[in-house]
Amino acid sequence: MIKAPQDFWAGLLFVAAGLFVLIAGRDYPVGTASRMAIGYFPNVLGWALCVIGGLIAIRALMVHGASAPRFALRPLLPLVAVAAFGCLLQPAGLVVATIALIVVSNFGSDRFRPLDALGLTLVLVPFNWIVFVWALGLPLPVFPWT
Amino acid sequence: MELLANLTHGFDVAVTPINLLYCLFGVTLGTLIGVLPGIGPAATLAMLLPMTFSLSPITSLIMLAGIYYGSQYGGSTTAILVNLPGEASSAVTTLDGYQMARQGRAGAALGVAAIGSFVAGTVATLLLAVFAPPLSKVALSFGSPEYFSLMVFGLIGAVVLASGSLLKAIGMVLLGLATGLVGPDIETGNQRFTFGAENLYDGINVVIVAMGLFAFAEIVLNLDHTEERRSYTKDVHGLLPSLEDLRRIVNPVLRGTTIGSFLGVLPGGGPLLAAFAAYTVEKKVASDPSRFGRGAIEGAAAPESANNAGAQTSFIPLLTLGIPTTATMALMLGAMTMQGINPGPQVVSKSPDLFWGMIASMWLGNAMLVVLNLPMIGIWVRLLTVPYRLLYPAILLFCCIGLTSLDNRAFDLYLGAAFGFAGYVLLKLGCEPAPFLLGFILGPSMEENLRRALVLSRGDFAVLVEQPISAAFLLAAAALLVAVIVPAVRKRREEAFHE
Repeated sequence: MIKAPQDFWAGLLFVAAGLFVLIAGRDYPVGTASRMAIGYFPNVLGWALCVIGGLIAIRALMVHGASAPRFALRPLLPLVAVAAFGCLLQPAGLVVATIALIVVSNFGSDRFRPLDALGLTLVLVPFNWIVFVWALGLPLPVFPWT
Repeated sequence: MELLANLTHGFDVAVTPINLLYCLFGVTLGTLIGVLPGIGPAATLAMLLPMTFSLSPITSLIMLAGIYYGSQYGGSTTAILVNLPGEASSAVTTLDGYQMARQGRAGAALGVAAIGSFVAGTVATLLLAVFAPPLSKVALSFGSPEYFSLMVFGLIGAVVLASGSLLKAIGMVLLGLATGLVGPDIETGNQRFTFGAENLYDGINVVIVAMGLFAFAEIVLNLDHTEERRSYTKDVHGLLPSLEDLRRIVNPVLRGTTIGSFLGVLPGGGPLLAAFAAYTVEKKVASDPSRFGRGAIEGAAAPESANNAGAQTSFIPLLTLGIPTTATMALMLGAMTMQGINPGPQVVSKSPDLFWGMIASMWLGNAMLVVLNLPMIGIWVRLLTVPYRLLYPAILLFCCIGLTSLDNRAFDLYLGAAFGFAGYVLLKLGCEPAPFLLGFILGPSMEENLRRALVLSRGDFAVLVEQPISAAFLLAAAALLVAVIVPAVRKRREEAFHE
């Protein structure tokens, strides 16, 4: 039935985004073409997204194309590492946040490599401190007690 | 000679110690990230942008521009030595450059790539100096309808000339435009799509979007493709091409430069398309096309000239019209805005220091790249032996610090990670992020100009086609779309990208 699953899902994603814009922006006044209110442009975009997404999805039913992608969870760990860095930086300081980022992102490759994590920590923590805090003077807390 | 006086003024600005130093830093860093596959100029610019706030506008733009064209030089090194494009725009150089390296002519290949890039950089910089000021004068007369139509043309061009599915690229532009809505409305100041989150009340910073889409998503995607990168070193000796080599590349370099300069100006064109087109042309005009793919020196010289020329001339639409044509230019625009410069036609006349200083620095930067990089190739090659699993945590960390130094709040990092996730999903679904970023950055002014145009015309959309310049842009956009939809052209376009 679906001949190009990759395109099909991409199309549905655009439709979903369009619907989201339309629904989330349903309370914004649209105004008229001569006096566009804040809802006019979002409204046009929302409908355009639905139309384009619909076209992509319908085309995917008729023309053969790439198969559906397979998503893996492990490669997403670097994103978790970014969030962890953000959440640790202010309370715990640069050193702790950096180590957390290195350890969590390290799990993102095929397996955890403790030696890599140790080596990266030994290089990056002093580098950060010297370049960003000392030389560039960024206002970052370094230790939990600073 | 007004041009000469202006250029002299530009050199006065560019050769101050601090500007020279940051230019050097920019081109060196650009080469570094150009050499390393998996991190491109857009991600690097996003990373460094927040750290340039303390610099003067001219110094920071000199450095950021240096990263961009420096990466074009670096990309060729990886392409030739490891058969991997260090930058997307060097992909086509792998075809003949790598073959030359296998035949023991790596030095000659690197040499002609560098010389070609330098010639192209010089010519394209001159073109920028000659054509940008008159173009900006024309653009000064543009009103809202013209600007709106120009942006439509720019976005359509970016979609048409981008690789991959046309419909999906349009979808990405729309998605980018929609993301650009978040924040206060320009006219009334009412919040839109912020859902009460105070951190969104100023809108989303372009750095966060670019970091997520171009740095984080790229890392996730690389980890997803589990293949280990081949890392190998090769002795490079004899960097100077022979006289015979030089004689052979004169015409390819000039052709590459012409093609690159032209395509660089077009929306969505940029260095990538320029390199592909130059290679195709070389193959067409060669007396013996079968040499290509087997180490033809023209196949290394022409695309490398073209991508560097394209990288320089893509500054023309940015500096004269305020319209970015590639993802990297979108970030340059972001950098200018954050430095308090309003990108557009008034830059040339109102900030001559900035405009001419940047042009002069580009030429100086190109010279630095040739002089410094050839001897440093050994170092770059050694860098390639660093495995990716050690590189990506470092890239992540620098990105995080970049995001932190924007406003010093954790929210920006969460948002960056979210854009990284979105970018990863979209890439897996075959949607390129560049049109998204262009839509995002152009969205607000596109809406503003449309609203203004329609207020003046009392709601009559015909104003967009009644003004001749505006009509011409819309016509050009329509022609581009039609050209791609016509099957014959579509086939040629696909061939060009799969070559």
